[in-house]
Amino acid sequence: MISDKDIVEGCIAGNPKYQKILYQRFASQLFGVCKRFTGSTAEAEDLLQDSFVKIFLNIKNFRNECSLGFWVKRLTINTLVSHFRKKSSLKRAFEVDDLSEDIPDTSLPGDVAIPMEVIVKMVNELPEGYRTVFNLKEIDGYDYGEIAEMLNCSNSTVRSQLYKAKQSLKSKIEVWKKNELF
Amino acid sequence: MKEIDIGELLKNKFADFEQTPPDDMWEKIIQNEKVLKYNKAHFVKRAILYSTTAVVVVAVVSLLLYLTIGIDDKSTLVSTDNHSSNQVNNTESVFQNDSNSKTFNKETIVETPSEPSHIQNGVVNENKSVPLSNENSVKLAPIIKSTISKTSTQSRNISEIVSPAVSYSNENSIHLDNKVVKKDSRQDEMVTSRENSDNDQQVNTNPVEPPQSDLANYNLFIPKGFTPNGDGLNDLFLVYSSFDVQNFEFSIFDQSGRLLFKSKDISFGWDGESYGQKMKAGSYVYIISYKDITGKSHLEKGQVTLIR
Repeated sequence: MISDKDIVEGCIAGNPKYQKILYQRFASQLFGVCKRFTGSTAEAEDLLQDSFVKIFLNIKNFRNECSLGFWVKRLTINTLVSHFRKKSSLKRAFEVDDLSEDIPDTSLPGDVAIPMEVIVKMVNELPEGYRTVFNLKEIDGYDYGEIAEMLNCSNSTVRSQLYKAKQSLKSKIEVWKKNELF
Repeated sequence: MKEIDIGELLKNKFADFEQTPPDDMWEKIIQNEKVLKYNKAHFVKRAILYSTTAVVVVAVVSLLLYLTIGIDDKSTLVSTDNHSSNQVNNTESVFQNDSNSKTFNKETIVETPSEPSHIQNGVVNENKSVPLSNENSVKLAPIIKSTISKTSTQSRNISEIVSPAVSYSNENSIHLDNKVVKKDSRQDEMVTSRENSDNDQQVNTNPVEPPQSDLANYNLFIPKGFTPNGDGLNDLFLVYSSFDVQNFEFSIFDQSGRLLFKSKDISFGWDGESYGQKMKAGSYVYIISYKDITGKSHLEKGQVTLIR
């Protein structure tokens, strides 16, 4: 087993052998991240490629402050987020939608057993703004402040987007369940 | 029924969510322009850096080696111990070789008349190559006899008892030993070269080189000169020995015969000063007397050059 340190050094040196080892070690995980942040597989593939290019070009900045796995994931998420910011539709969406008065109920029965591919599809179908915020907050564990900073919007916008995302997901799950029953 | 927040539900679901990317993904990444550019810049740069470093290191090492060998000739005798004991072996085998080569020469001479077609070549070859070996063997014959009887029996016994030493017996015989070695290895070369091609000319034209490293053969090394200028190199006139000398006595005189320096310690050398004055550059006479390990007394006289 080649250590992370060796991989990092090999990649800094521009050695394709170590770049491939790094790719093989993290590709699946990062492709999973890309899949849930994007609307389509094609988009996810493009962004995975962009992410690895960024990883290889910036690996000299890896300072061993965190694990290599965490670092590559964070870099991938940054790539994904900046991609959505570039698309700019996000910002517009945020300006329009603001925090509604009542906080919606986003809880579900605990026994739901939904296949993974269905969940991924549901997340993919979310509007980009919802999806990004939901991913960052609920799955990757960023707090509101961080997300607001990343997306260059206000704290309350993030909250409202998140609730809307959850609400949307809940209704999707409920629809799916109904269809499953019949 | 227990309710669960949708965020938490999906977090659990996505915790270890992995998906295998398409097969051609790696190709796309590694063929990406930026990655190629980066790798070329770094990998090639590093390769060049390593190779230049290697070249520089080799150059420095060889330079150092060259310099140290140059100094070695004058200053160290310790390292020659092995060398000199090898030489004893060499001389032994040399004697065998020598007798072989002599018989070889005779054989070829005897053989040549029987085959007329080869006479010319044979004779020419013999004429070309043999003179040196004949001379050698003629010269060497008495030497070999004496050295065999004197050194090889005597000093071999000694060297078996005390490994780091050669011939404590007689300086002359050691010197001759060395010549024997030199000439004989040359003969060996000739024998082989005769077989391979007619390089005899080349061998013949080369004069018999004097022994390169006297250090290896003398058990006492007396430098021919020294430079007391305080640079750390050859500042003292020191005598080096490869064995423990006894009753060592070391005196320096100037040209008029005035005693300038006297020492009974081999590690205590002359710094070029006498009567509180720095001596002028020039030649000074030394007399060294000592007993070697067998208890035999020696007296060495000679001149040393003080260089300023």
